[in-house]
Amino acid sequence: MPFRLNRRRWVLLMGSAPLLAQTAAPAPEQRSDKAKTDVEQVSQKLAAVDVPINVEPSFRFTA
Amino acid sequence: MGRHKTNLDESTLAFATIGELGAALRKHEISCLELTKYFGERLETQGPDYNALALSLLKDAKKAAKDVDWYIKRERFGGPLQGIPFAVKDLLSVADYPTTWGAKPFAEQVFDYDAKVIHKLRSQKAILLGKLSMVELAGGGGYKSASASLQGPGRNPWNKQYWSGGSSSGSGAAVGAGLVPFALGSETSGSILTPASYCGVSGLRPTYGLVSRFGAMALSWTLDKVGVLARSAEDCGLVLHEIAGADDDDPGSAHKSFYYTPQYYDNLKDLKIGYAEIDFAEWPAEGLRPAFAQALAAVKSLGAGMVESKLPDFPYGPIISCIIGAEASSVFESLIRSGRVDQLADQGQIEGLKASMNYSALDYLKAMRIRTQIQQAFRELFANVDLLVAPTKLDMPDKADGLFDETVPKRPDTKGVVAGLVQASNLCGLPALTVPCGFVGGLPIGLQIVGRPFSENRILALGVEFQKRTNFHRQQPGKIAT
Repeated sequence: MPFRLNRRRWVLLMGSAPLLAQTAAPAPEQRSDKAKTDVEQVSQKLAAVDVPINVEPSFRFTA
Repeated sequence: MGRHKTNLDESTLAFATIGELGAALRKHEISCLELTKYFGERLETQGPDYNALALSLLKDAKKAAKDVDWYIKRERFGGPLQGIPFAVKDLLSVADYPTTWGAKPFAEQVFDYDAKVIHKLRSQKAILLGKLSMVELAGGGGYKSASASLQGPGRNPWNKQYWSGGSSSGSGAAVGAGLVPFALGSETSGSILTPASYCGVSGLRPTYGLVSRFGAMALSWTLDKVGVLARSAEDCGLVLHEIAGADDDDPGSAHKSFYYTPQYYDNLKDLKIGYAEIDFAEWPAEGLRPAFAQALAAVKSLGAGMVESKLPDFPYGPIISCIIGAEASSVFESLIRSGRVDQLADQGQIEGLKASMNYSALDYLKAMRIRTQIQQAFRELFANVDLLVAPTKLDMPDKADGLFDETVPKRPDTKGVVAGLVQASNLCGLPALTVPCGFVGGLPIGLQIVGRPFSENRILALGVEFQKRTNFHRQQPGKIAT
């Protein structure tokens, strides 16, 4: 059976690496949304931790 | 190489320790100028191969070397760093030369003073050869590729297809490739340990506050430390001896000194070392497990008491993310608000820094209060053990080109010591040493040793003993002896 270079094969043969690289990089808007979501998730995880009322933050103010 | 005959030939000079180089200088086997030219030219010619060189200062270094030779010729010997070349991460200011912090928005930045650590090393007549590349702004926004640097992706001296690690990328690569005998780096959370491990060198992160950060870029005031990457644990001790100490110019200074005293090493048999079998057997990527098993066996053979341990259970990742994010977004507030942040190379950094401004005061204070609890939990842990050991990194480095692989690896459900150790020990300001402990596929892996605050001598003692019984730290890229 003769080999026919259809569009699908062409993409598989020639385009896979560079095309994948291009599609792998998220758009700036996606990065922005992801970064904001990450911050929200961190806040939620911190909120879920119970800390006794008498525990002070781990830094000192010196007069 | 030069007019003098030395036991250090071309194949060994580049990878000689500070002690070996110092002995050669004092025996007049090589002059300081010859040594400076040798390493300076290596750094200039080979540094760019690894994208490790930010700025050569060889011209000034030659002048300083001639001055040192004047003293050495007259047998006026100083400390162990006299005449030893070194380089520093481009996060430390050198008067009147660019200090870029690895970031385009600061490419033209010049300070009129030296960082305190550089002043201290110069006063010991160590020779500053240049500044080394780094991940932009020490990676505070969260970077997604090795290209997040003014010099391009840091390349690993053992295989240039792989990353050298960050954020002290150039420091790791330059020492690993034998371009400098030692380098200074900095760590907020992993930035010394990671490149030291990936590049097959010894890396020491001192206790928070032991080494002045005056003249260093701030990323996180409550986490930043300046430390050493060198050929051996002993070399780390020699350098720390000179750079440690109180500094009124650093608000985080602990006002403590450090004297490297190997003569007073603890008897290792009296030490209790905390570890977890699962950290070596199941947590690393599969291909790394046999090498880590051998490393653990080597630690056990030292004769110390081995105590199966477990890290206190806290959400270390979110806590340190919040603290770095909140402090870094305050440090770089004007960069972010002005929009100049968009000049950074890495989109992850840009968006991460912007998003970090969303942390609330409540988030930050909560993280800092949990941090207090973590410190208390670690005090209790260290009541039962003197040191903790674990793999430094659980996976091989990412490739230098392209985006990092963000696939979350499958790990065991049971936790030992290694999970969260880098974040936890940084949150507690604990000192840590990483030493090379094997090779997998031609790339080095590292073993981390963590101790109580200001227990650097004990950590170094274990590192030195480990290196007496293994030769991983004496290997050279392209010439691994089996």
